[in-house]
Amino acid sequence: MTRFDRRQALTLLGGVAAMTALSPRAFAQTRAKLLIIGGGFGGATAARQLKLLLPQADVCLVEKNPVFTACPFSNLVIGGIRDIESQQFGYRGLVDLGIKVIHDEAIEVDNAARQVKLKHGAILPYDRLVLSPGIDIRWNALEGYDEAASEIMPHGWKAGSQTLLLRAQLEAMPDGGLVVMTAPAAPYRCPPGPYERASLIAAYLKREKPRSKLLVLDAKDSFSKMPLFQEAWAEHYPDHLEWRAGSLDGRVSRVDASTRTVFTDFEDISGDVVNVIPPQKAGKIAEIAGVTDSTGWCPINGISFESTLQPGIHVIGDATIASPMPKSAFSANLQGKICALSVAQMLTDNEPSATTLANTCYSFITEETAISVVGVYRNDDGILLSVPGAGGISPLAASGDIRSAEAIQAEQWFNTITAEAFG
Amino acid sequence: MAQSCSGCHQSETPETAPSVWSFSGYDAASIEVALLYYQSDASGSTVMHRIARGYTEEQIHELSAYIAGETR
Repeated sequence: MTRFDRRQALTLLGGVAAMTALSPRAFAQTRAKLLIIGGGFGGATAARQLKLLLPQADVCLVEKNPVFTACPFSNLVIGGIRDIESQQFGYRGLVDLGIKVIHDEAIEVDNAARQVKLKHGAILPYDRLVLSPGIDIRWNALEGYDEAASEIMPHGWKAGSQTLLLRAQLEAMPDGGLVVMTAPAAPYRCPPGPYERASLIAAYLKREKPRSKLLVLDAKDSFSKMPLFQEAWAEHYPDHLEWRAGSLDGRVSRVDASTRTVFTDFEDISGDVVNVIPPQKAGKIAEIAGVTDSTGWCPINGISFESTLQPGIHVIGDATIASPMPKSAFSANLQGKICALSVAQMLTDNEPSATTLANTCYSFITEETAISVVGVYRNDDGILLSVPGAGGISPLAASGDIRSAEAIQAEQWFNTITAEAFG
Repeated sequence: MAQSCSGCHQSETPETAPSVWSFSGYDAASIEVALLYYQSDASGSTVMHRIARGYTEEQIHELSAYIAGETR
């Protein structure tokens, strides 16, 4: 344990002890089995925080991939101004803390017996289970968009090979080509993500393929940070980006991968590159564990992030129904920390208490400028609500200095949040 | 409550953080003054202005003391 980690653990314990009038020793002695499934921003954070809070506990993280590829900033990779390697993080920092990291896939959850079965046969018992499964694509919810179609018309909504495929297609496209993007109805991972991506693809076209154009076909009429994006698009990409609202025939109801065609109510549009951002749901293990409702997402208590459907199972991150908190890496990281503290309190017979939460999301609008949205929330009685009068988006008609400053802040946020999650 | 802060702010200054302050080296009073300024500056529009408006003066007082204690 580094000096920083030990100090962080001690001060966390001190803070918790002060809040709950509880001896740090009670935390220190808990030997509970804590199992976390999913090693993204939520799960990796929860695992680290649980181990720091409960050093004697048996903390185990199950994650399929040996290397995590982060979605935030992956639109810069698609725009050709960042390497995928800058998006990648291993689990060494977690292992060094004493967390057991198993690279396997959870395929069964028996919450009555408090155990999880892995693909390669292992059975893992737990006292408390934390699921941070992220999203899965709802294949065929958009007619014609199945797994095979995503190899021709990539979604790029889980970072990694899909990100690189979309980037490669943009690079291979001759100048004068048409790029088509389809954006889904809410809820989906990263509400401003499609529009940041649109900005950075337009920036790439303007820079390197100036006779080309991006057409965004949206299921919605409005979206996150909309006035700021539209201001930026009018200023920077009047010839390279066209956005079409859902009510103006922007909604795509079917796609055909064999011809790279998308179908709206009145038009068939074929692109040279087609990026389909499809409808989504909670990652598969959530459904297997019985923590999803009819929406495909996971209802939770907003204080403990314990499932309202399965006691003993907590859910954090994009898979949750936590609105007005967005499905963002910032939210997943914060939920991981709050969930870990709640689990520690519950294990020592203390009631987790309500608090104030915040979220900040930056989006790039050009290679070197960015905008932001902030939310502040309360979780009294387990229900997440926005604090009136707080939060909001960057100012409109702001100077270039303000936009560049937010791009620098964005980069520092990325460095901090990945350190918070992966050590 | 301070768990939101550490999404952006590290407790020690990394070499690559010119504009997002770390908490180290600030006492509770300095942090509280800064947060109250953000909260009361009605024309401000930075991320911190928009966040600080979501907290009461009492919460800012508690947060400042906690953060200063953590990074002393």
